[in-house]
Amino acid sequence: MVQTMDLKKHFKDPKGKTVEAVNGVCIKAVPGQVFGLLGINGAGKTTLLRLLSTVIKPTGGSATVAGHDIANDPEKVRQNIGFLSTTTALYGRLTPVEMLNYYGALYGMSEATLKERREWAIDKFGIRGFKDRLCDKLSTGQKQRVSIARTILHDPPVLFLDEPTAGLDLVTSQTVMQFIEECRSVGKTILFSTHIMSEAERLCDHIYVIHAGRIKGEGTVQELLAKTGQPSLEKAFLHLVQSSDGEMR
Amino acid sequence: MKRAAHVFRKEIREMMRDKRVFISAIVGPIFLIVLMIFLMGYLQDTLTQPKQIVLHVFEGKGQNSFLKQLQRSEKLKVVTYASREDGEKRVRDGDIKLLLVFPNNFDQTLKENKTAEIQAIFDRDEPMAGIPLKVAQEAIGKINKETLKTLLEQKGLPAELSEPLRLKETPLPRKEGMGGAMILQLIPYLVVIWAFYGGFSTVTEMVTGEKEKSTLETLLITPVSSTEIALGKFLALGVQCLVSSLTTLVCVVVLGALNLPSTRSLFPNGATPTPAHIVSILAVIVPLTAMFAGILLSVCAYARNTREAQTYLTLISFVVLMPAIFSQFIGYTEMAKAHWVPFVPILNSAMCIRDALSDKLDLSMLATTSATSIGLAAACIAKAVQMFNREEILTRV
Repeated sequence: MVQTMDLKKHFKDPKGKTVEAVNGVCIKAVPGQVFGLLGINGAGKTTLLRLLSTVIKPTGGSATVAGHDIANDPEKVRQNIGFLSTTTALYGRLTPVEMLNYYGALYGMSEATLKERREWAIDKFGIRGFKDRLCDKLSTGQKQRVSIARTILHDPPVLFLDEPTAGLDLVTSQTVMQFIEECRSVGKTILFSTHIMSEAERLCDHIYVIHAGRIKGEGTVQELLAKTGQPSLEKAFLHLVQSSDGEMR
Repeated sequence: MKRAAHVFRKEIREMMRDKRVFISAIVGPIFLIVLMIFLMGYLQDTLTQPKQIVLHVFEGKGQNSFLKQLQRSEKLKVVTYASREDGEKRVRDGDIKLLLVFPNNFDQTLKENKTAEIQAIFDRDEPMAGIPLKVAQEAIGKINKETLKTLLEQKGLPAELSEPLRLKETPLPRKEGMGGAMILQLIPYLVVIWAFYGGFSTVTEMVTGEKEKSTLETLLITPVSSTEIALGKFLALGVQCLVSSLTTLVCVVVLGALNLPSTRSLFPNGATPTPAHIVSILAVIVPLTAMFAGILLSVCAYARNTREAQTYLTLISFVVLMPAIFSQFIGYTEMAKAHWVPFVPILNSAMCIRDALSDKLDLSMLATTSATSIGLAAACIAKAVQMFNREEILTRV
């Protein structure tokens, strides 16, 4: 489970002005469901996921991931999460097998467990045909499959997916979405950030609309449509974002 | 530390597959040292074993038996000029190094027991003019001495009076050190600069490259601490810097052991370092490469991207180069004995390596140099670890 309480992250920009990247966010994600973070570029989605991944420290508030506090127990948090995005590259001079072995070792997996999980992932994501080829030589789709295998290798109960289909072709996107659906079916807690409405509609059990570092609306797709009185998720999203901009002005 | 070892092994594996690492850490030092040694061997042979010196002269009018004597010497080739002006022009144009201008009636002047003045015309900015000048001085000195000896004999005086003072050159037997003076100035410089430049090519990819490709974020999301990541990368980089630096030394030893005709003059003592040389050099190089690895890593952890990192590293490379270059010349000055020298990083290491190779290393100098480098290396590693623990390593892009 993932839960945040009034979570904040403020940065100083180069001119010394405070930027409220995440400002008082409260969310709750439970196992077996996909929770969407819907927002435009710069809304604070990536910062929120980085806070939850403990790679940056919060300015205020608190959060727990898989029962561990992100500020007090960051190593335990990282042990229990998998992180995937399209911007994440692979090590070009390692093969997929070496990549998986490396990350398995970093997660402290025993040799036997690592071997078992690695072979499972190689078969599951169709990597066997290119498992010993250098990652630099792989196609975008093949790379993304290796990235997914790397994310799930240590069988984390919580997954953070930061726009994992951005820039991918239709076939590769489908692979990623199938992966998300399968993870949901086995009871993982999934936080999925996107700005693609169709993906959110297909995958998300619950959506948080995030804008300017704040949660502007939440609920199932149907609940958001009902709350905003809009006929589609896209229009509901725009309604929430634009009304928020109006309030700020 | 086990997880730092995983990071280290992965970095080494990637390095081994990167052609640039092989080129910059192995091929580069070998190419440079081989080139330098062959060039220096050629220079040394040219300077110390000239086969035939060419003397350019304007002989004036009248008999000149001295010139005829010079012309008979197998070591000399005498080229005469029709006019003094023509010879002077050739000196001015840099075509010849020196022109000897004999006065008219040279023999007649000597017969009259007068001094015959021979002018040596040369360009004071021409470094090679000294060679024919020295040859001319030696020949004239020999004639003067023989003339004086003959005169003394004619007067019934002992011949020793012609040489009341004599300077006998008695060099001490060579120590066990390897290499002659020329090569000993060069090796420490190359060893030191390769300890830095060896890691130059890969550190940007190792840190800023990982930032740009977002693999660093994936790495930071694992349970491995930032400190362990920094240490793993530091160790891999340190190994690369050390290999690069030692490649230069190994190459020198191999070239010396091959005893090639073109490089033989550079290694009058052979080229086999003793165990004491090796231990002393390692005691200097290991902390020095650790310091360089720490600096390289800190700078790249701070830089936003590869381009920015390369800009900073280029500036820092000048700071590394200056003391390394100075180390080649400080031995010619009194400054080499100054108390502060062992505390100046890079300069002290280069001097220690040179002293170790020439078997003149002072243990207190070695201890001070090693301690200084270890202290600075520890500070640089601590800084690198601190830079990796800042969240700006991800957010400052």
